Amino acid sequence: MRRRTRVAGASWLFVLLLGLILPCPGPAAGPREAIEGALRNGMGVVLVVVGAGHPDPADEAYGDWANYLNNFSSRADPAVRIVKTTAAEYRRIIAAPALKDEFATLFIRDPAHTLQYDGMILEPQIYLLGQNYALRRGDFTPRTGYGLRQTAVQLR
Amino acid sequence: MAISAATQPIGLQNLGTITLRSGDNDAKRLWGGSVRPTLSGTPVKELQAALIALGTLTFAADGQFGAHTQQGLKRFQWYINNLRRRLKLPSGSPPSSGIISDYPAANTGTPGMCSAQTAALIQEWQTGNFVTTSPLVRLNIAPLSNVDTADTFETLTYPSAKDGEVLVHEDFAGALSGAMNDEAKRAGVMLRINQTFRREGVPPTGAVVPPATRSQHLVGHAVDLNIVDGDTVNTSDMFKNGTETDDADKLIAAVKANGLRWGGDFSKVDPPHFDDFLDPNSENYDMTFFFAQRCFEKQHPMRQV
Repeated sequence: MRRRTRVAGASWLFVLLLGLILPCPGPAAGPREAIEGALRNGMGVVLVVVGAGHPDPADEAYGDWANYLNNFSSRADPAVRIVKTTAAEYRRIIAAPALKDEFATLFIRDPAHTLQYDGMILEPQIYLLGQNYALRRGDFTPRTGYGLRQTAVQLR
Repeated sequence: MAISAATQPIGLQNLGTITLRSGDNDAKRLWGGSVRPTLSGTPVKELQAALIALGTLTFAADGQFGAHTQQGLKRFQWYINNLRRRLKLPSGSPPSSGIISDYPAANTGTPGMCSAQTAALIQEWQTGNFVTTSPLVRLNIAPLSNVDTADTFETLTYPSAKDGEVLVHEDFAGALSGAMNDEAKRAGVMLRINQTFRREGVPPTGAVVPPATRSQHLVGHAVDLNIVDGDTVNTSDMFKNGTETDDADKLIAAVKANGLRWGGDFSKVDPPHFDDFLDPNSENYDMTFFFAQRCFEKQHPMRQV
């Protein structure tokens, strides 16, 4: 009888410890938390700003952008975190740089080192240039003419 | 259904004057729009099984001529009227081992209805072990003087895939290897391809945003490329800022004069994009989409041109 009680007590202790170890489910992390968390962990961030509304299924610009983005996402370096947000949410959480378009992509190495692309990315090479920059691989030369410009991110 | 002494058998091979149509039903002996108590058989189910084997019906045979059967039949008839090649594929063989051959034009009857003439055509295909196949071709760009692929170009996985070839619809292959290459040569620029045919729903996981579902790429009628002028790669950003080279502008004007569309003219500009436009709201688009995507998924062989 006494032995049984001891076993039962050990089981409760195990459950209690497990509860402390496992992460508690909380509110889903928003883009701001995702950006901060990734940068804190030494990861690069690809922040994708997506226009509102439903795309025309025959819109070729949208189709090309979505295709190259999804392909990049499926093969992106594990050391980059891809975060999606809307233009409205972006403006709510980020003070700078300002958006010039409803679509944009920011390749963030750290808040002081970021490349910004305004509009839809229509060439897959741009993702590789941006990813390399975010991961501190090789030198980025603004002269490449792909529309990436250096900037700094300021969260609100 | 058992054949009684009082009934005559009916099948796909002996439709006579009966034309199978939407609403027909083997279990109800409803064929050609009328109940026929003196006939017995499963002609609708035979038709469905044949269409499944031909590759135009993707639902199980149940003996009821509904919307799916009608669509499968229309696909076969459209195929006969619009594509000139079929795949010889003995039963049980993997599609990649099939042999592509030409076939002559034929009268397919009223779309979505199966007359004795249509049935005879279907049976001729079945007897010869023929199935419908892809409208795509493997365009070998190695011999083209002014077309190549970018480092980021991805060769898809398909039978006999080789470096130096791109997948396009056979109607678009001529535009790319003919007018576009010729005009690029004249303008003194290279066309560096990023993508041509695109798979539907790829990547299957990890998509950040929903893809476009009626793009010209999905039917092999489009190409994304950069116009390379000497050391200058004309990027989307350069077109946006009006800093593209004069030769790039010349090339674009010449290509458009050959009847192709340039994405830089679209309301949402897409400078790397060129296509020969297959109306995305047309039956031709739907049919081409079906055969291009399905036959790629089934790994049918494609001709190299």
